[in-house]
Amino acid sequence: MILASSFLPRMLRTRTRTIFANGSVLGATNAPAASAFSPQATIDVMACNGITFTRGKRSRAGGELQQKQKIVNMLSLISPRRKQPRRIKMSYEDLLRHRTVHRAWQLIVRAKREERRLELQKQYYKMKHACDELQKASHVLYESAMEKPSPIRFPMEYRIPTLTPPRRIWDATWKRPAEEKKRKRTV
Amino acid sequence: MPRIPGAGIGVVTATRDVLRRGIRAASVTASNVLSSTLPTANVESPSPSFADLIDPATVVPDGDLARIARAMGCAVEDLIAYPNLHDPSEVSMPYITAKSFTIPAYRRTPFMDWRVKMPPATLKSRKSKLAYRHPIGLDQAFKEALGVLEADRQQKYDNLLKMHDRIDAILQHFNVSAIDDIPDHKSRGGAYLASVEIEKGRINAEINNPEIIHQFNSGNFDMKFPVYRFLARQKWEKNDRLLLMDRLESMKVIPDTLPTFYPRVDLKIRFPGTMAHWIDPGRIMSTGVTAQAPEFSIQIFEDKAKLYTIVIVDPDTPDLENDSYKTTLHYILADVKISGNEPLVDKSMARELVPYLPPHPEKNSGFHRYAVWVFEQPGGERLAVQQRQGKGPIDVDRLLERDRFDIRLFRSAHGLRAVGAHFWRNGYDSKTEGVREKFGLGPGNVYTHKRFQHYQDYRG
Repeated sequence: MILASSFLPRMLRTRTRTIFANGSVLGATNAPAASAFSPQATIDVMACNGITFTRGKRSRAGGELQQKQKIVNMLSLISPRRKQPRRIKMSYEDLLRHRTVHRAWQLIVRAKREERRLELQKQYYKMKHACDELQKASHVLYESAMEKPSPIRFPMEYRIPTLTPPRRIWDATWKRPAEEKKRKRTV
Repeated sequence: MPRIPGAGIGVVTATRDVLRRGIRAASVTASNVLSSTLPTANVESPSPSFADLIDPATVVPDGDLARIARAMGCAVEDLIAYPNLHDPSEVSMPYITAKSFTIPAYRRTPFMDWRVKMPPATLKSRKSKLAYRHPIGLDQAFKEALGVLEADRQQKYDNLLKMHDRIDAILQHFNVSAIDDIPDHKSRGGAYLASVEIEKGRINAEINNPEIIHQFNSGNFDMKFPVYRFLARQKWEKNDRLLLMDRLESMKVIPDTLPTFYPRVDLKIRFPGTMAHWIDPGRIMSTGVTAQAPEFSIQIFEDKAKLYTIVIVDPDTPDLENDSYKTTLHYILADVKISGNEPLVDKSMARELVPYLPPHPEKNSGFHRYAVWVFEQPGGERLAVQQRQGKGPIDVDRLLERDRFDIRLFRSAHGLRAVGAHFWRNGYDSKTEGVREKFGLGPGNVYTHKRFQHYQDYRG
């Protein structure tokens, strides 16, 4: 989806700077030095109005600005901009080399994955065979071994531990609240 | 893609450098003779002369020729290809050596710093040469990758040889020569599975080889090797097959002629004359151009050479008696011999059952589709009418009549299987009257928008 400035309402029309992949900026007076392999995360910089087209923190300044930012966020969600991997542009020779490297890497990853899978499979079947033997040997021991730990970790009355302590750690004046009277059913 | 028939794998354009160095191996000298007769301008490779591309860094291990040939199912002579530039007496093989893992390199300069490196040879314009940035770290990664791929390839060869040994052991045990003759069904299944593994393994062993990919992209390959057949079919499936099926279905050629279709061969047609390039399916042509019989190219992706039948029909001929349309037969060419390396159809070697009738659509009858069907003849035999089981006798003379041609009856009568299809379109244009005159086809009807209730009313 292309945000053509002519179709945007005036409030959203802002000045943009186009930055090319090698780091040079369109219309800039001091062009940055051309780097061999510039980081591909370019910056879309909005020069005014405080609206950011990048995915970042929402600004809390002003209600109207927040509304505009919300609209921009929705549009950004719909459009594919900056959510795709960058297209590889290489010469034929380098593409061949890239393909070779990619293939080799995929082979290495596959070997690791296969090794892990086999390891897990062996472990699983060793456990299974051991349990089968135990079942034949002693039913009591088998049942005891098959007991699962209770899913309940804490009693209902306990306060579930958190990462950080509460604001008020200890209340000396706390009293148990009185029991509510039971409502009688009329219907 | 140009083929070099009869030559072994990897006999690329033998350049002047190769001839100068004087290769001793027999097959390569044979190929030198071949290549000297071939015009080098035909072969369009994206890289410069092949001699520049070889990286003379590695030494060929000896004694592996027979092993690799056995694994890949080809002759030892087929493996010998690229010469060793340092020592012409040594020959190298593209299938197994690290040397074969070389792809178009930069022209070597004294300074190997990336800043002063020469740009890639495939970039032509000065602007692109200046703008190009070589990915940092790719060279080192490529070297490492070659090591990984070489180890993987050797493993795959070992697996292939194991499969071969397994099959040989089974055959020897039962004292038979073919897998189908093995009496015990379990062993037969095991041998069959091993042969399937071999077929896949022959492709997988070389599919990661950048040299093979480069040769394929340059068009210098022999279809007898399964890896090139696989790559050719993959390329066809990615684009051309999709386009063809889209056109056939959207123009409704498929239900109107044959009910359904699964393409297995890459059929291309072109008309001689000024329109001398392969046309895309469904293209609207001029009747002047289509007055001559088209040329066909049937690219098969199998090793065996087979016989094919080509049929051209027009399903859009108006049928006034029934207020509908009928199919007209335009052309049948039978017993066309096609192999993987020779896709062009040689009409002189085939049998023309029905000569070519040029398209002559009538005025205001719209665009007619002229569907070209390629059938595979059963058992690779010459075309003969077969008895259909459980059905009545076939009128053999009626089968080849042009008017009201029934392509489905023709297919079932001869036991044919549809493997390729194509079509173009013609409408009445300025050249149609000329075609009718030239071929004595008589004046055609002129249709109007006014519809009559019955055909008799029109006849008057």
